[in-house]
Amino acid sequence: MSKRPTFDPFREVKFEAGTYDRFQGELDVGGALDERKTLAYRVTGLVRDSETQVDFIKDNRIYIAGADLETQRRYDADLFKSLPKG
Amino acid sequence: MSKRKMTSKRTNNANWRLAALLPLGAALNGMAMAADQPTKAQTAEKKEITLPAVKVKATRDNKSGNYKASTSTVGTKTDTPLIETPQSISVITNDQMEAQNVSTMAEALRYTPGVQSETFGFEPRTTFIKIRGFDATETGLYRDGLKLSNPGFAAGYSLEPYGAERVEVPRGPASVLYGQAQPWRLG
Repeated sequence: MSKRPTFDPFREVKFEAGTYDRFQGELDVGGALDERKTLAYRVTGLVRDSETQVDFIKDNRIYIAGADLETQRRYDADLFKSLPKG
Repeated sequence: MSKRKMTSKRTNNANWRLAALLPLGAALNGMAMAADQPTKAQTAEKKEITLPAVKVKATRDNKSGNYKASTSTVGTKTDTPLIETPQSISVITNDQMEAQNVSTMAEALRYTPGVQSETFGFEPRTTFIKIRGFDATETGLYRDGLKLSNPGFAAGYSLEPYGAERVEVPRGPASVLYGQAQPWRLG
């Protein structure tokens, strides 16, 4: 399952370095777009530049899964105030 | 939904009390009848009733806060608690992938029961997987419930684990949900 938008604010930036000249930067942000938390977004991205254990074989990647939007209905008391009394 | 149900149930109880004052026929017809044709007795008794507030709370398990997932979507294609899903399902959460420091999807499945990942050893180009001995590389990969069709030889999907909230492995018959594939698949 892909990373889904989160209604709570969330930010992550990472940088990694490893063997075989591996360098990787990661970005993952998400949060609500409005105060009532009805709309949320998530952007996930990754850039990798790496050699591997096999000569001349690289493991490079540019990955972006972005601008996912998710809505959430808010069941407030307002909805029920409109119901007929009786 | 349950909020509305509860509200109407309580309303009916209140109406029953009102209806008890009416003749038997009207009482049997219930509250709707009584409200439509108010009698003198009822008008006298009619007053506003304030029902107690009913608080309904539900949570959705979309945060993988630890290594143990409580719900999964792969068994039913709905967000169902694992304990209510009659299928063998493994869930590799985001936290577990982070703890293992995985760099490929196959690495994420290394400790999953019934799954043989990295069947050809080191391979950054394709997610090679067998589940319960059946090849899942070509027909067993799904992303968000959609099949990742593999055209065959020398092609494949190298899925990025950093883009995954979780990896889910349902074991057992599931073609009614996922269509033609090898017997086991990966969500």
